[in-house]
Amino acid sequence: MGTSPAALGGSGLRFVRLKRPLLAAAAGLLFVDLYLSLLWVPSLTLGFSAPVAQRIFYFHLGAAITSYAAFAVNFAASIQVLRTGRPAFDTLARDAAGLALLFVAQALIAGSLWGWAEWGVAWRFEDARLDTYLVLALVFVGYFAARRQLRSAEGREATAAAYAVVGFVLVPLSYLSIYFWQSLHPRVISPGGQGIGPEGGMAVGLSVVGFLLLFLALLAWRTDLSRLEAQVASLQQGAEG
Amino acid sequence: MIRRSFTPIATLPPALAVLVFLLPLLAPAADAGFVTGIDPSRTVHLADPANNLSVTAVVPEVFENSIGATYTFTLEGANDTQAATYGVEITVSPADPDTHRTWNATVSVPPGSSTTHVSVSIPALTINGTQANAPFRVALAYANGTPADSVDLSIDLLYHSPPPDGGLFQLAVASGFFWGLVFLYALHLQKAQARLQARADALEGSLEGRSKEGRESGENR
Repeated sequence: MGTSPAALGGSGLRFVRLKRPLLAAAAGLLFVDLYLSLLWVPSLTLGFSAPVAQRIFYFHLGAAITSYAAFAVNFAASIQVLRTGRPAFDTLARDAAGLALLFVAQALIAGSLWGWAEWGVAWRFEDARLDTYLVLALVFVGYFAARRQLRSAEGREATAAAYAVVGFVLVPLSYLSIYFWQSLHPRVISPGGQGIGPEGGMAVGLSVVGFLLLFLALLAWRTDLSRLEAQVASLQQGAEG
Repeated sequence: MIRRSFTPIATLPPALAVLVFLLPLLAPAADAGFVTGIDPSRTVHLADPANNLSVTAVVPEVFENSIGATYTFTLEGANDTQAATYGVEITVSPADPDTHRTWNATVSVPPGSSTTHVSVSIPALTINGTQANAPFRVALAYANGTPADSVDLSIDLLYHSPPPDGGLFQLAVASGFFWGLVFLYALHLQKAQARLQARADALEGSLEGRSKEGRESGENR
């Protein structure tokens, strides 16, 4: 059962009210970015055997970075759960983790489709970045399984928060894996990467901002739903009482 | 107790085992190139004994055309090593004039004990065709081009032919999946919100009706 954003204070309610403007801004930016990524940016032919599929990169990166940001929100909210014990932060952590998995699914599927075109195979198990990112996703699928299992258990919030805090270790590990281990994952904008040119930089920058706004918009929407869930629960209690 | 008679053939397996164990010790002397290790850490060893310089480079057994490869050579000088310039070279199919390809780099070694690195890269999309055990040579040469040492080995060349449409199909599927997933999630949120709102309205209506009934029955009394 969700907890009202009002429990997070005025900032929670203000955030929920931003849902529509955030959605409109994200939709506008991502629409422009779609045009830039698919049609405007010149194809990168150097080092790529599938230059058309390479365009997947522009939204793959936006989704991947946004998933890391969503995991960071989950991490911060989980720390707050452990510090304060307030259920509202548990709801925020749950909603952020759910959205993180949405963006992870986008990044994984888009990346696999690119691998299929470029490498001839959708997945390479010898690649550190791919493997650590998949493990990160599975750990947070486990987070939801654990929450479901502990649905009515006492201390569920603290257990889930501790699990999420430990699981967050995989986020920097996944991000830095291409520096720690041999990786086939392209280094496009990382130090030492091949670069994507000014037009590509613009498209990828817009994609990252657009996806971050989309995440905030969906989080605000999800938080609004939690408010409604709490309202329905309270009304239900009133009707039964 | 059973006594078995000694037969000379019985000494063959242990002798072979000892031979296998001693094989690494029978490796060529340091002045001839040799290979140690297995994929992906297969290491080529070269040397210039006249200058007391040893060179190593890791050469995995597979080269993927779509990725390319970078081979890093590590040149280690001893106390009596003189400053010198060397060339390091990798060659695919050295004996075949039709498919022969060479990549090289030059490196200067400082005098005395030191470690110097130099890389030779084969860019992606430069070797076409899949070939198992393609001849592969790694060589060390003096500045004037005279060979100092070399080793011949083999490498598996993997070539993945680029998709004829450049990956347009994958781009279309990825784009559709991307926006489809966001759309479905937004639809799910919209439906959940409508359902919860309807439930909240119904409960509020029922509570209001109940309180109205309560008020009316109070007035009647």
